[in-house]
Amino acid sequence: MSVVRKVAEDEMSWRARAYLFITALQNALIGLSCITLDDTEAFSGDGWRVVRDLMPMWIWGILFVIGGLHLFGAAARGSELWARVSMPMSAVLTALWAAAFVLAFKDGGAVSPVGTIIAAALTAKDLLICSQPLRLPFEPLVKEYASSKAA
Amino acid sequence: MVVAITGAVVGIGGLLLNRRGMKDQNRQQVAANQALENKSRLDETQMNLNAAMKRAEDAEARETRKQGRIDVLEKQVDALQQEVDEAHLYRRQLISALSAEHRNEMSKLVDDLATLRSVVVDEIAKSAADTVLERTTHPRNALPAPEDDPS
Repeated sequence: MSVVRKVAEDEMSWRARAYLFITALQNALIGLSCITLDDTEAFSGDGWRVVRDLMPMWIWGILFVIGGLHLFGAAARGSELWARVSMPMSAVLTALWAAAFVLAFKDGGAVSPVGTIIAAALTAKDLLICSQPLRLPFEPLVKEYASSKAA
Repeated sequence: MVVAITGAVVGIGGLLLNRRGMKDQNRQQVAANQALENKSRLDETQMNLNAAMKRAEDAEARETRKQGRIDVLEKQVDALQQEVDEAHLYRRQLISALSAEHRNEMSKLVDDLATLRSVVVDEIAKSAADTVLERTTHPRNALPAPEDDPS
């Protein structure tokens, strides 16, 4: 008689961890870019005007880095609670930038809507992950049946 | 303001979607736990069924061996019964032959006895006749007859 491993109550699926890790990397790199390239021409364009008007880039950077670190922690610990705090934070930050890019595009500052599209898509993806379970309780059962069927 | 509202909406939306995700998570967990429990019961039932089938097969094998022994014993009984019947037949035949011989001997004896009786009767009659004749020819008070001269 085979014993199917029961998924622990706090065990996160590897897909969720991978997504958290990628989002953490995204936030961390954006934050580091904002901090290190604050006084350069990187964010001096009109497309970034609204973003700069909301907060200085280095503050955005700190916020993104904090979000990234929290996401790294959530991915490393496999903690659902940390993940469910980090993901909305990441979604809010990207949503703020998306809204800022929309306004910039509307005002003629940004020539291309690509930044808006990307930021909005990232926001939507983060919100989608928030609405999904982060654990797959059926995964051990599916593996068990798949392996027994293959056998 | 627009950006702030966007951020607030996304933040609240994220929290609400988080809640939905956790509800789905819990529902799936409950379903998975029930499925695992059912599978465990099914596996146990299957094990019990296999054991019962094994016991039934063993019992059937024992029964078959027993039936085989019974068949052999029945054949032996039939052979012995045949021997007994043959012995009875022989005994009856022997008794019949002895009875016939006995009857023959008896009839011979009876015949001999009858012959002997007739001989005895004849002898007695002859003796009686001789006695009568003698008494007639030689009365008791009469002188004895001269003896024949042997010279």
